[in-house]
Amino acid sequence: MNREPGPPEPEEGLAAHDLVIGNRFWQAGPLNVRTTTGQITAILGPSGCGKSTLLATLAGIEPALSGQVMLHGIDLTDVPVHHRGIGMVFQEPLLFPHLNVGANVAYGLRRQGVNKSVAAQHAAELLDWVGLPGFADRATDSLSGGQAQRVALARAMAPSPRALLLDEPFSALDTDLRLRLAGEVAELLRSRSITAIHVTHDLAEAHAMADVVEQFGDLTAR
Amino acid sequence: MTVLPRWMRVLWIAPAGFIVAFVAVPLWQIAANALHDDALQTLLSGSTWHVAALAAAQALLSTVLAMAVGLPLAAVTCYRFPGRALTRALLTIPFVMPTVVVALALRSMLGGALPTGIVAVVIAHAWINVAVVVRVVGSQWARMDLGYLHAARCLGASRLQGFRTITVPFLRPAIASAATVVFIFCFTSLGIVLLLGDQHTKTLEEQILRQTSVLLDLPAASALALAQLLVVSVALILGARAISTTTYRPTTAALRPLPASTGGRVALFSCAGLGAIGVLAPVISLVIASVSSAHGMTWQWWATLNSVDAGTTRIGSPIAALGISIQYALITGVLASIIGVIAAISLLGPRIGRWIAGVSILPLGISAATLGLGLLLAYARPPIDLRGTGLLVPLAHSLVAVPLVVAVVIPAVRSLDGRRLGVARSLGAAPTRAFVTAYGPTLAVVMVAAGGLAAAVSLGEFGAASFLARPGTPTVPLQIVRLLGKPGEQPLAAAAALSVILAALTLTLVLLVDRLGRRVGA
Amino acid sequence: MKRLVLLGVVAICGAALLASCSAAPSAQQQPSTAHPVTVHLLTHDSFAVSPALITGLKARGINLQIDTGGDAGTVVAGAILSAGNPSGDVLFGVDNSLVAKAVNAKVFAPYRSPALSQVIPALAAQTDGNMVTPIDFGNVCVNVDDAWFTAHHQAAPASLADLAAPAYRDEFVVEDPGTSSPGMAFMLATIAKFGTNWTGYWRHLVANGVKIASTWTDAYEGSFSASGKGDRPIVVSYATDPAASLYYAAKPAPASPTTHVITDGCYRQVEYAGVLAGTPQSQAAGQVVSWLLSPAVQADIPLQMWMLPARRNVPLPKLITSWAAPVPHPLELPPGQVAAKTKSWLDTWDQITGR
Repeated sequence: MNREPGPPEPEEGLAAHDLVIGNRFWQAGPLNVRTTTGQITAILGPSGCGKSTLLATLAGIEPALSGQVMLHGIDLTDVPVHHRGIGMVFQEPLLFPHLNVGANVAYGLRRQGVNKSVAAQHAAELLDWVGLPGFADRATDSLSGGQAQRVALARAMAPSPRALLLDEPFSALDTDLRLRLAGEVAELLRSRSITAIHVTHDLAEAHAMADVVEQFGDLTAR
Repeated sequence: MTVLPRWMRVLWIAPAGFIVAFVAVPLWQIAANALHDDALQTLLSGSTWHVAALAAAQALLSTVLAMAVGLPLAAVTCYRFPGRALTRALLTIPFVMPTVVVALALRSMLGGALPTGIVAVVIAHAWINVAVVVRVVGSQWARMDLGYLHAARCLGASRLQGFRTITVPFLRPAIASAATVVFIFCFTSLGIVLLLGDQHTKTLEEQILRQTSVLLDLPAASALALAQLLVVSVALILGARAISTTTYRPTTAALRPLPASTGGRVALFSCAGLGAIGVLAPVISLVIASVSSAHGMTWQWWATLNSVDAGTTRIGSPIAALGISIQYALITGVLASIIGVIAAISLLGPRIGRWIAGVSILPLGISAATLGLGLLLAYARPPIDLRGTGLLVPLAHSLVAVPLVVAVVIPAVRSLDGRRLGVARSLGAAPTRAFVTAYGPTLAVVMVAAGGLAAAVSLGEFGAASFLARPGTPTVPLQIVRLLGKPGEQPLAAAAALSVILAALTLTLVLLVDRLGRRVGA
Repeated sequence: MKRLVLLGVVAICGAALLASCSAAPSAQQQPSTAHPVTVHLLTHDSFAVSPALITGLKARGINLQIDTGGDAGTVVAGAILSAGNPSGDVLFGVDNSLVAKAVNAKVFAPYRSPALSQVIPALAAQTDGNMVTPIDFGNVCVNVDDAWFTAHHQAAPASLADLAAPAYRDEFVVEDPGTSSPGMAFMLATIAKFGTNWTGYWRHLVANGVKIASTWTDAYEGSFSASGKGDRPIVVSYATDPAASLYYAAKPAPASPTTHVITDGCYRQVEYAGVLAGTPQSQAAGQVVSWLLSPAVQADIPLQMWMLPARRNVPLPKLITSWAAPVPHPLELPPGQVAAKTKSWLDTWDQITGR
């Protein structure tokens, strides 16, 4: 990185070194990714190029075939998903339909052992933060597509992840809403100074969100 | 949901009519002929409810064990691996085999070491019903969007927490539905309880048989049948409540690639292997029984299967039973799949239609003796005499198969993509044409698959058909039971040989059905 | 499409109506080869007869349709349920433990076969006022595995009383009278033999480790040592079973059976046939009853159903005369007493055996 102007001696955020992703039938890499703490990095690439697999591998959902995943200089490659402290927002909101909106947001906190009422209070604050105050008791199927992705963002942020991955989170929305929401989410993330990687195939969306924009194809070049 | 074209919204009348004609009317006939004041005493007596409580406890234990064994196997069948289809089909064999054959197989394997009592009954019931868990839960599991699980893991859930908080709620409707079916099977069990049970494993069905065929006290038998139906209805209502909590939209079924880790693969293959062995071992012991004699290995039992002297009656040779069984299986397959699929489609229609899917499970809880005698009273004498038409047995088989067909088809109907219908409508298709275009191919394949399952059930059905006066040619299970009623080596070996043929036939059928089922997923 | 469905419904209803009409004759017909009559014979699953005999009946204008429906009890129960409006014309297989209830329920119409005069006198009297006709009989006896007793250097038991002796501890298997017909016959045998002391006898049997199986198959094929799977050398079964197991042995068959029958304490089961009350073709139905008593059918019975012909002077197969022990003094209880007492006897038996 560092091709774009950045702050002096930037602290390394989430990074991948010579990472090979894929499975028995398909591989990509070695890939090298570097991000700066507190910045949003967009990775731009056509559909099917492996962007989603890259994010899944960074999160630990998919195993790395070789190479390393680093966060703040610590090797995470062998750390299981739920101990990595990396949040993720998916293409679909994937809200758990057997839980209401508040319980969805509180899910991660509950897994950390936070008691129910504290988690619920925290969830309510996060719902305020994403602009959905008072939505905690609603059922997930009563939400619009945009609202559902906001809840998904609140849910991902609730356990205070050290980094956030966004896998084309707005691709199911229409263009107007997509760009507006991208701008809003970027503001929200900046307000919390979270390190984030956002993958998309849409240049406009990438620029609406990110501090730094990279091409997926360039990741292999280094 | 108004996805059904108008004329299809009244289609529920067909399954409703079927249930009324072949369940309600026969039951009414029995009640009208048999229920008196004495019967009420039987219904209210302490010993009736003592037996019901024993049976319920036994059924609960059997269900828990079937679940404990079946859930890991259901998970295994969601992965793509060589031999998966065969494993799944093998697991179905114990379920569709007649219970006498199951007991014969266990006996061939264990000989005098075969224990009796609650332990033996629970193990045998679990062995038989694992197939229900694997089929019902497994097919739902394969439809689970793994994204939910990934989301949970990213939120800090461990593997176990993910299973407990995400997978279990997703599977709850399927688990409830499988558990209800298994509970009802075990609660109303007859053959296994007779062959392996003792005084602590009585069922009401066993008491019904005693009242019917030894004491000839039909009022008491009817009262017991009523008591049994009451418990079954309670189980169905509780089950239906748990089933209706579903809110997850299933995706289309997609097999998962094998786990990447060696440990995961070892666990998966050993699970599948143990399951297959558990099913195959008794079947292999049947094969051995069919080729052994006092003089050692012999083919004479197989060679004489075509002879009317092969230890059975000269009404027909053992092999002749095969022809009639296949004929009945074909009719049952067609009848049950039509009725079952229509009942399942009714889920998409008006509220009353949705009730039909639930009601169509009821025949599961009606005693085979009640069903057989009821059909006899209703349709084996003027004004409606179906004896000459050869339809009575396939009708009884269809009654047994429809609940299973419905249980298998409902997930497929639930996963029908409403958007496809929208596309067809927006292209200007009339309601009927749009429905056929959007759902026709899927439904056609589901129907054939369900028909295959119904045919397999028919091949192995023994209970209801045995109570039904029917033309002399016996079905294969009836022929097996006849053979088992004769002393000497030949009848026993011929019964084993016929059982092997039945198992092979069933396996082939289920493999074909699964192949079709996979095409739906694709 | 709507019309298509309607058409289908109409077609199905029509077919059902047609089927019912064709099966219901408008008036009773005299059977003749020109106008054959179909007669439904309701019977249990063990019924068997050589096909040639059924063909022979056809030559006399009767098309015999055999409808089997479970064990004897279930068939009779069905007949009681539909008494007066039967689902068949003749019933065969009601035995002497069931017959009184069936007759009380007015299942049968009177019919006296001309062939009755040829029946063994002891049986010929059992017609319950011409309601039923005895067709065959068999004896339920204790069977003993000779090979086992030879191998264990033990003398085989010779009477019912022996079975309660400590020498035969854990060696005897019986069927549950509540679920098995030979089991019921054996319980009745003990009642006929020991009178009110039958409960004491059973207490001794239980104390002596008697094993109770639910069905004959379970007892004979599962627990009896002679069938290869079990470990008990004494079982309740039929007097013809040594002959039958020789008949069904692997070829080359042994020269003699490896089991024999204790003729003490055998219970005689008699099977009857009767014309069902309410049948529109009582005449043809009566002819079928007489046909069952005809010399040809009677001679066919032993190797088909392993029962003995009720008719006198019927030539028996050599297998039966050689190996089916004659029972000089079989036990039997009056059908009326059996019908009245079965339930309380069963309850008592349940209590003693803890079933």
